[in-house]
Amino acid sequence: MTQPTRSEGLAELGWQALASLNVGVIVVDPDERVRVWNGWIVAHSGIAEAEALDRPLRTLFPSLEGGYLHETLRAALELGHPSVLSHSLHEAQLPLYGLPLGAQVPLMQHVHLIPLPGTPRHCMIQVTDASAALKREAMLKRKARLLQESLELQHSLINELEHSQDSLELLVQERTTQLEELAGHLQDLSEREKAKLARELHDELGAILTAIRIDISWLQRSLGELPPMGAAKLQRMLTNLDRGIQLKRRIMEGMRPTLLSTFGIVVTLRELVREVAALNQWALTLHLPDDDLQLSEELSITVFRVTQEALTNAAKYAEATRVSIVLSVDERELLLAVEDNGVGINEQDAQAPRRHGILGMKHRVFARGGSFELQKVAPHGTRVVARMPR
Amino acid sequence: MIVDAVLNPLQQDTLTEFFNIAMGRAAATLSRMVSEEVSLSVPQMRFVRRSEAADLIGATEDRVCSVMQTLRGHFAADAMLIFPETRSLEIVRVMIGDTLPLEDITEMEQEAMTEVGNIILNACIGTLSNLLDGDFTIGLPSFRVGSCSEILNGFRPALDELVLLLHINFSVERYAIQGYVVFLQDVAAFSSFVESIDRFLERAMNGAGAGM
Amino acid sequence: MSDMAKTVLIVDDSALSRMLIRKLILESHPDWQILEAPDGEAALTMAHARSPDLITLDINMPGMGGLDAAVALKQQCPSAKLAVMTANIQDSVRQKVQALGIFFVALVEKPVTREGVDKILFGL
Repeated sequence: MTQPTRSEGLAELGWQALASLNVGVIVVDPDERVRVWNGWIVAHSGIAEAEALDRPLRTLFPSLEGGYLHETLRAALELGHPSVLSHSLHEAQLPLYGLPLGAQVPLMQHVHLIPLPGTPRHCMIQVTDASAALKREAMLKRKARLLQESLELQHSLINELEHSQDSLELLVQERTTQLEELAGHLQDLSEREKAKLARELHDELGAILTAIRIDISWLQRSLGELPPMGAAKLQRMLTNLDRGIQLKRRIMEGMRPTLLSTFGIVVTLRELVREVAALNQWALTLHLPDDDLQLSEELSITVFRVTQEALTNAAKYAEATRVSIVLSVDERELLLAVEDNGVGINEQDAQAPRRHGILGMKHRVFARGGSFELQKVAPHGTRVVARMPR
Repeated sequence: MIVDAVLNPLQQDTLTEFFNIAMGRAAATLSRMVSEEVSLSVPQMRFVRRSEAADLIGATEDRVCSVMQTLRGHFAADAMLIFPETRSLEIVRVMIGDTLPLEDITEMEQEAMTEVGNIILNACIGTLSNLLDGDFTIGLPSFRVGSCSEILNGFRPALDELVLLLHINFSVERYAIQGYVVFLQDVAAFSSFVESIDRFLERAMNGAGAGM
Repeated sequence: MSDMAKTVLIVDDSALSRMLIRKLILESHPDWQILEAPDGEAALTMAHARSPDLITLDINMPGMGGLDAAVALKQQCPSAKLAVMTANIQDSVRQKVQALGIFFVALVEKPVTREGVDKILFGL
């Protein structure tokens, strides 16, 4: 018995390694006859090594004849061109199957054709199982698809939400407009009622009181010397009557300033402000147009009432010592600002606009299609700003 | 230095025509594989310094996909196909009919891209080795993604040698991409190159037939 | 094939291919007239002036491609025979060529060879 030489030993090791490789290896000669057919190929093809050796590959795998893999194998053998055949571009290239063979599940494969140096040129066909990678990738893509779908869903939900938010906002806006219209309507109605009442007070009660006054004056003149008691009574009657007339006038002006309809907004406003300022001992700054303004009756009343309300606030709560009024107009817009240097409106009151008649002012301005702002003035004080289209 | 001067116009034209014929074959192979019309052409071919090549290719897109095969034999050369990363992803997805594009190239797409590169490079290498009449061992294709200079300088960093740069138009269906094939080669290969072209022209004109 | 000397127009952007086609034709017919054009536009001008009997066309050319050139040339010289010589000979290209409705004496794959040129000459 002879010891194997070193190279024989290495060759033997090489064969063993080849046989147990976890990839398929086939080597063919220039005539495409099989020279190596490793264990992996045996397992996945069901063709034993002894059966395969020395036979042309195309007789073992007849489906290869004339196909792309066969063509590239020729290029490898004749021109030495190595090739990679990917699973993505060629399905089931060699008739190999997954284990167990009986199930006949075609094996997903990557095939490498590697020309071996040497003369004549042989070619190694290396086959790797691509199913694990394919499965991984399929899973990855499934997850990506799910992710994409859930993103799309999220997107459509957000859209829907935004849409319903929009329509809600629209609804709120619509209702607000309706309420403002209603408020405006009610105010107009109440102004009209007041005006009617004022007219009646003026025309009828005024006429009656005046007639009585004339008669009493006549009596006073024509009765001559009266007993002291009688003269005193008559005088008291006259005084009370004058008070009644005064009261009638005050009520009338409170309801519908006669000045407004007689003299227009600028004069009326000046009179109102001067009167209130004198009563409260305020220093007054007025910036009013020199000439009277041609405003609609509704707009005039709104300006008057807002000013009146703002001054009432300044007098009642603010402890102000200085008040300034600005009224200016251009072709499109009217601006009214009433500012005091009082304690200023606190947060709580600003949050509860029903107090201090703020809501009333607001509604009047909104009903004229305008904007209303309540501003704090430094260092202390309040400014009411109303802008309305003419 | 642009080395258009190295080749006279006829030599330049000859080499370009060789590569166009090779591309025609590669396109026919790819077309049969994907059952779509594939067009491949070489509108321009030139010699440039390797550093210039990196600038030329990298100017348009930062990251590139590359498939490389080595040639060893009479002389050594590396043949490299370079495409912009995103565009090459698009085209490989058209070819393998994938409907769900992921952000990164997947293993399967990488394999497919490697195969496409392999077919194009084999065609180019076949042309060159035919022309040079040499016996070469050609390596398997390897795929790499990276910046242009990483890809171009990763292999033989020390030399700023001349490289052969082929501009390539590649289109499948309505997708078109522009790429490059670069041959990095020994300096010695050049004279051999020019001589081979002349030998070919002489053979062709003296009636020995035109074996391109 | 008539014995009359013919005029051939070779349309190809590659000088090499034009040279090879010219040489292979002249080997068979030394008395024929050979004209060359590097693109479709030049081919039209030349065909107008010289009314060639045969025109060989490359398909991939810069500017006016070979297919467009074929249509225009056929209109200009109805009597000229056309042949296509191209590196790109996929089925889809074949179909496009056939879809033009023009009769081509041959559709030959590049590289230019003796056999390819003979195929064209036999078709005349």
